[in-house]
Formats: sequence, structure tokens, C-alpha cells
Amino acid sequence: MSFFSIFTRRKRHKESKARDSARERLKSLVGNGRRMVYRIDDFESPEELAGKAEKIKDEIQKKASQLFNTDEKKVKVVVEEHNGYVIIIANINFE
Amino acid sequence: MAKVYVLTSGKGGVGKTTLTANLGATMALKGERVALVDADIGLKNLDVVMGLENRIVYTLIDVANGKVQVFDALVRHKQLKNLSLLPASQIATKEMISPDDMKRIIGEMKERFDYIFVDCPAGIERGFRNAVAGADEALIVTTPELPAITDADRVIGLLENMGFEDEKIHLIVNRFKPHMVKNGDMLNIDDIKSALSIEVMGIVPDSEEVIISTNKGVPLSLNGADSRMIKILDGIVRRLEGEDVPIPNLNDLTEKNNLWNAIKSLFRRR
Repeated sequence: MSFFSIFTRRKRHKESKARDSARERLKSLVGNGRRMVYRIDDFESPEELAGKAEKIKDEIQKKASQLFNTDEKKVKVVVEEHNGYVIIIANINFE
Repeated sequence: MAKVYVLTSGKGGVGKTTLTANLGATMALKGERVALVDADIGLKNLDVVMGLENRIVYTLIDVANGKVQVFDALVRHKQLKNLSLLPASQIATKEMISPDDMKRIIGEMKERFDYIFVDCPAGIERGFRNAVAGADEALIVTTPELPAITDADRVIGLLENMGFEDEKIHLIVNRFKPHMVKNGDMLNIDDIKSALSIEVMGIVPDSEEVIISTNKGVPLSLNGADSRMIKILDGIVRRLEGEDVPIPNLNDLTEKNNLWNAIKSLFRRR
């Protein structure tokens, strides 16, 4: 069995190498520049987003501090824009 | 002022945490004041790899919430007193901390350390943004497989969009198998380098020593690992310090199966 396996191994090397196919596939995946990534700050009007973000932060801080009976300073609100979506993350520390 | 490196990859399971621990320990052995920050909130592991899981009192979340000062939350390594860990919390989520919190915390730490390594979670969402927020430079960790390389490519693109210059993004190829490269069964370093177009900071071969040291909770440099692994880690650390150290070639990375190693492994098994 081991005698024949020597030939099998040799044959496989001649037929195809994993490195060659990986290299070809890698070229097609990343060969033409970086894979598609979106900017975090590509909102059409950054000023408009910043203004609205501040307003919504204030509103959430007020409401959350009332609901959870905590200091407004303990409510952290982050507004981010990802690929056309505005994401609002609120951390409420009501310890 | 400390230089801050974030170890990131996009893909999980490529060895970011293990490398963070081992680079930190190797750097500390050279006498530098080193801090490791576990930014993988919710799935923390760096404390376990470092063997410090029973010493944690406060976490990154306690610091972010203003409960304690950052220096009160740091856990010192048992043997290397100039190596500290800022642990992550297991019961919190990545959303409980913001990139601004990270910038502030890392900024405070910078004064007391020479080097800070941030262990980034897998993915490109909030945890990634938090981890890279306070970093000066990025170490992209990948294994020589397509999914890891393509994810690394995406992360490099994100970092560039976030303002990282090309020369501040470096590549570490982990779990490299020289014998597979020699047989034509694995991508070589040039293939990976040309696909990602960033400078290679290090190549770490696949090694059982890593599993042994992780299980013991003792970094490789303190665990009596074979000289090849110690030399490789030392090379990366020296490059991070700005020294011009050549990248090892395939022969340097290959584990030598000589008689002495065979005898050593025989005794280790017992």
C-alpha cells in the first residue's frame, strides 16, 4: 500500500497545487483593489447630521434619565452613520 | 509616551489574543513598560492566555463608567512586573463602551507605559471601532488561508478610511506552515504580501508550543519554548521598536527535526 502511495502523492503534485488555485482565487477576490468598504462619515451633509445628532442626544439623555431615574451625565449617547443608516447607541448607567 | 498597537484581523480564530500576549511578554522581557488592553468585551480571553483570570477585580467597563481609575483596574503579571493587563468584562457588551471612552482611557495609560497592545475582537462592527480608536498603528493578523486574507484586506480598507496611513498598518502572518509552502499546498509570504500590499512585520510558524503555553497560561517567552519561536517573537518585537531585522526565510521558520529535538520531546511527553 505504502509503495503505491508514493506514486499517488507524486501524481497529485503534478496535477494541481493548492497554492496555485488559492493564488488565482485570491487575485479575483482582492486583485483589483481593496474589497468594498464604506466610509463611516459619508452622510451627504455632515453638518446636518452633526446638528441632528446633538438634538437627538439631548432628547434621549433627558428621557432616559427620567425613565431610569439617573443623572443625565450617566446617559451616554453615540450617533454614527454607517452606509446610509444612522445608528444611535445609548448606554444608560443607572447603578 | 507609549506607542499603541492594535492587533486586528476581521476574522476570528487567527491568533490575535495569543499574539497580543506573547508580543507583550517578549517586549516586557526586554525591560519595556508594557500594557495589554483586552477590547474583546463579552468574549474576553486575554486574561486566560496570560494566566491572570483569577486576579481581576475591575474591568475596562468599570473604567469607562468612571467607577475606578484606569490604574486601579490594571492587573500586573505575576513574573513580569512591568507587564500589565487591562481586562475586559465578560458580562458586558461592546456597545457599553464607545470609541471616545477608549481614546480617553488609552490616552491616560500612555503616560506610564512604553508600549500598549490592544487585542481587538473579531468583526468590523462596534468592537473593532472601539479597539482601533486609541491606536497609533495597526498589526493585521492573518493566517495563510483565503477567508482570513480577504477579511484582512477589508479591515485594511476600513483602517485606511479611518485615517491610518499605509506605513502605520503592518502584517503578521500567523500559523504559517513552511512544509506546506515547500510542497506547494499553501500560499507563500509573497503571495499574501502582494495581495494585501502592506509591509510584513512578522511571520509566526504554526507550533504546538503555542497551545501548550496557552493551556498553562504562561507566555511562550516564559515557558521555555524552543529557541526558534523565541527568536521569531524577538524579531517582531525588535522590528516594532524600529530595528532593522530581516524577515526569516522558509528554512528559519522550519522546525528542525533533529536528534536533540526528538530526545527533548520524548522527555516532555513523560
